[in-house]
Amino acid sequence: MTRTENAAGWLAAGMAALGGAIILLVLAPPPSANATPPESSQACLKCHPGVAEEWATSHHALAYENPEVRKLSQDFRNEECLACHAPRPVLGFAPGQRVLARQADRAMGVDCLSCHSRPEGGVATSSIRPDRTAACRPVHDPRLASVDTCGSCHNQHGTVDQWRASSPALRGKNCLGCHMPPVWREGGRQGRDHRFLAGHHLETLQQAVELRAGILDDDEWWVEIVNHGCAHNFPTDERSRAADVQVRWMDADGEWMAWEHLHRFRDPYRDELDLTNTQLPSGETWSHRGKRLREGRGEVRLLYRFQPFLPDEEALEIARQSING
Amino acid sequence: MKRLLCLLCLASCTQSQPLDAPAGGISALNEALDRTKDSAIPTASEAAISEWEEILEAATFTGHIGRRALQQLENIEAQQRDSILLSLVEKKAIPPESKRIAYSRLAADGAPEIVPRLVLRLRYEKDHSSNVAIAQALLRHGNGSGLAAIRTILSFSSNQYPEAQQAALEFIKSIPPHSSNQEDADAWGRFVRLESNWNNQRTLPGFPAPPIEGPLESEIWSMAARLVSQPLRPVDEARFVLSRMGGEIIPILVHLTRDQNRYLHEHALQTIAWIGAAAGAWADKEKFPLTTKLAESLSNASVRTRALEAIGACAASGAETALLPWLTQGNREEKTASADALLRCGTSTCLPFAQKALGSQDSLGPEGVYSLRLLVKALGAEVSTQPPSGLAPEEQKRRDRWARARRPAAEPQG
Repeated sequence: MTRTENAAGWLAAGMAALGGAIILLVLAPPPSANATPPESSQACLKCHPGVAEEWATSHHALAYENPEVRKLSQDFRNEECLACHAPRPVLGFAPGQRVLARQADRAMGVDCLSCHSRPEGGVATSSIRPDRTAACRPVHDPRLASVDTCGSCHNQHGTVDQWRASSPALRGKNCLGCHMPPVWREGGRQGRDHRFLAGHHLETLQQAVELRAGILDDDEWWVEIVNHGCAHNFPTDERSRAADVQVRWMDADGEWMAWEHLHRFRDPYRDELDLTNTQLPSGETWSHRGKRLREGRGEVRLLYRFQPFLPDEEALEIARQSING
Repeated sequence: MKRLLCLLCLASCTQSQPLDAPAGGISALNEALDRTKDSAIPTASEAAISEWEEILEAATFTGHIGRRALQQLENIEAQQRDSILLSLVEKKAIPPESKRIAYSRLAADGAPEIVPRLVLRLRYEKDHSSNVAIAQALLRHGNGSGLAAIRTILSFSSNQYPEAQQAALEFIKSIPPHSSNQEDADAWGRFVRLESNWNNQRTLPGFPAPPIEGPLESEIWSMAARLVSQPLRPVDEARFVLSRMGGEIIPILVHLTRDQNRYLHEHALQTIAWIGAAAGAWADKEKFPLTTKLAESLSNASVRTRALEAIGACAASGAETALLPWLTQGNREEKTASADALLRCGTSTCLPFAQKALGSQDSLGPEGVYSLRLLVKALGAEVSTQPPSGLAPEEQKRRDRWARARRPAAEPQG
């Protein structure tokens, strides 16, 4: 065999191999085509009990059954609220565009498929090495970690816009850093916390804002609330959220007097025409100086309410600090 | 190599297309907005609004000042007056007395194009006397969406809002008899008849709606344009208004379902569904092929469930025929939407299909299962109407309401 024949042989073999590879590529279904997308999130819960357990405690799971939402929406007779509380898969919409309501399984609220179902088929994961042997054939999909994906619902009140305007140091890469921190799962895999830690989680609130207070001089005291830990307004998103600063003093007999209201952080409802938006933007500080009413001790606290009319006893106390005379 | 190229060609041809790609790429809304923009109500300038706010305040005075202010209102050109008065009542902070004068002036001689923006005032206006004036203005133009406000005002305990209640009673007394019908014998009977006609057919005997053309058409398209908004408030407002218009709005909403914008298409269907059986009754009476028109949206996967909902809610003739295939062939969402829709309009024709679908409940959401159980029961067959597990109480109540308001659809015409 001559060198030319040899080279021709190798070329032919190479071409055949290349052809074969192309044919395989062509015939092979696209990554998601062989995946039968689950039609209900119930199917996900069986294989992902750990995630399911976390999700079940989240306000995504509660989105439809939440008593406050039911009250405000008149038990969802007001269908306007359905879109974000029982959404169709968000990846089926253009990035950042609002979602629309789904028809079935509404009691599951913002369920697995709301975020993970891909319109192209299969399910999306933010993992860069998805387990392709899994029944749902997960596909790495960077959209899942995009702020736009969360923004489809959570930017209705400007939270994502607030995040975009915040300092890069605080902002991080996306919403996941704070609201879905990494967790280790069974088998040593790393995943994301599906409790969606936010306003209902005291530690998250405490990481978001700081209360500082002290005595200025014989006559005055001061208090500051610093939004140093969250890359959006405090509080944000739902208009019903409110945070109040309160102070109380000890009387001459050593008894605590009643809490006095100092300030409220909140975006008012549409029809509260006499109120203005007092949310505390990211990185900003609210401060107050007051006359000391007593020479004795004082206390200042920051309460977080899930709705503005919630009594003090049902609010979360984010912080409390004494003001010593 | 030829074979390889063929395979490559084949592969590129079978790449999946997005299911929600628009059929024609048309923009029904933009075309309409362009066509009618010149006839819209002119926008009142801030300076004019401020000036007229003072004049209206003066009009609340008695004597010479008040008379002179009212005369100034008379002297202004009609469309400009409508524009200024509408802008004033839409302002957040304006004294109720001034507002009432503005509303009563609009009620007396506002042009038909004020209707959409006045209907929106029903959502936000908290002054009951003003709501009576809104109802009067709307009634004069063949729109009965203010009748509910009249009933609400009269339902308050006596003397709670005496002025508004008196005005509501005067409103009812002013409704003229339309026929020698026994029901027309007393004013309350006339009111109830009007209300019933409006609720069931979106027509008001004796109060013909103006044709949707010129400035009124322009205002309606402007309102419809809000459906595209990403912030929800404009969408909520547009759905509120458009679902409270007379039956003549149906062809307009149907036209919007041809638009390539997904949100416009979805919300137009949703608004039709909210009008519901009254839309179907209007369409059947007017021989408008509503089901056929709505069924065209079934070819678009992104709005299919909403189209199924609209077809079922309207229960116009032919609805059942359009819905049934999706109960058997659809995905979980579509089967559920079809079951829900059939609950609202299904006849005995769909009974065997419903019973068969109940045999394979896994492919339906709990909402669909419950709908089919209620449907089968309504059609007289034996079935347990126990709510399935996973069904939210609110969704159960919604379907109970649908079952009570069922309107079996007629067979397709022609």
